[in-house]
Amino acid sequence: MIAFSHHRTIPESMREYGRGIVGGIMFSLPLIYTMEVWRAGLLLHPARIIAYMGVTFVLLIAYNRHAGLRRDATWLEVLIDSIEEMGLGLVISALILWLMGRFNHDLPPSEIIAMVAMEAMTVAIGVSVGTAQLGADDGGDSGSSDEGKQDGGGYSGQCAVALCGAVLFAANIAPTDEISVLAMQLSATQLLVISLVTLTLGAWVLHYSDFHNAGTRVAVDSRFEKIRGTISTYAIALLASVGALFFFGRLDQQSLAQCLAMTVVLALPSVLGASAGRLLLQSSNRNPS
Amino acid sequence: MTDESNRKNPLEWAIFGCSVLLILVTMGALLWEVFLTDSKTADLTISLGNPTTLNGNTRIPVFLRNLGKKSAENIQIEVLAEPDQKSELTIDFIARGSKAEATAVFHGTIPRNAMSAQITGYQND
Repeated sequence: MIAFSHHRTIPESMREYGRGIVGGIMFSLPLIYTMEVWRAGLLLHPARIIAYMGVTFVLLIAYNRHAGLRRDATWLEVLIDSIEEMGLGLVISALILWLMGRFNHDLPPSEIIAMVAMEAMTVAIGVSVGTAQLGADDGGDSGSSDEGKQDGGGYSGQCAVALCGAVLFAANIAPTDEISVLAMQLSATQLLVISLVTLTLGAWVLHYSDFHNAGTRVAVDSRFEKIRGTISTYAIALLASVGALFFFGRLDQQSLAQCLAMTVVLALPSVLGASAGRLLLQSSNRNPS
Repeated sequence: MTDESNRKNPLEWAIFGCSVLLILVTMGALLWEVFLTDSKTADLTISLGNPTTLNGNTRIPVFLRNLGKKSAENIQIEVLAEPDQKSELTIDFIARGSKAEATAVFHGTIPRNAMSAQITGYQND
């Protein structure tokens, strides 16, 4: 018999799934209403969509492990939760796209599936965040029980959650044409300034603004840790940006300079997800019940 | 702490089962498309419907089909009506295996057999 960390009644489960559904819709609304995303599912090669699903699944596992609802969840439970969140993401996306009239009789089923899959991944991350963060304080535990809680939850764990936050922000903006337009019109000097502002913004949120959860989640014992945190946050924002741009096909047939410019432009909102989003996507430490 | 007395309820197992099924169907459909989608290009065909006359103008539906394994964007269509009228249409994109419809409008009453259409260009996916 499989041992789980918790037992919930059906009403409790329904409330939890309800939070997840609300979170899924809430965090992916801009994406759901973006025409470029509807088209991305129809234009992208299916192998890229499969890779996008795979990367999202890994992100879900990382988030559920380090910032999920149950601190003492086993790896099996984390895997089950991640599968459920992806499934809910597919259902929510399909329902909303249907409500918006995006499915017409001229589209073959394979294209409909591709369109739903592209929308569903950000929804799935939103479901995971909503399940973990939107509930009232029911005395449950939260997040990973790894060592290093006192110094901010472990470096790798915080990087994983930061990546989730950055992807949530980046994925909502990356599909739009505006990123390409901005990248084309900005000069090298302007892009450099944007980079510096982005770096400063991340440092400000993490270390100098007394942001919610910063005291428990950000390592500040030494100047090295502050510098490491700031640089890591920006690196994660850049990684999330280039990944989102790649998976939505925005880097295809673009020059290296244009790809770099687009990544720098998108990293500005992504760093907010990697810093402020990361802190908000995790509950405060509570004693286990 | 894990405990063998802690179990998932039927709703949780149902959600998990449905999720597994949905993911498998989605991945399966996409994998199937991977093997079908190779280096071939879009295969576009065009046809004209039956014209109608309204307010002195002739409107004729234009049907575009993509029979290929690749999508196409910015499809340029030219519809000619004898003796000297021309209508140019642009369809933003057409997915593989799907259809699109547009309408060309001409002055006067023009019979169906006096009209023709051709695709003048499109952007590869």
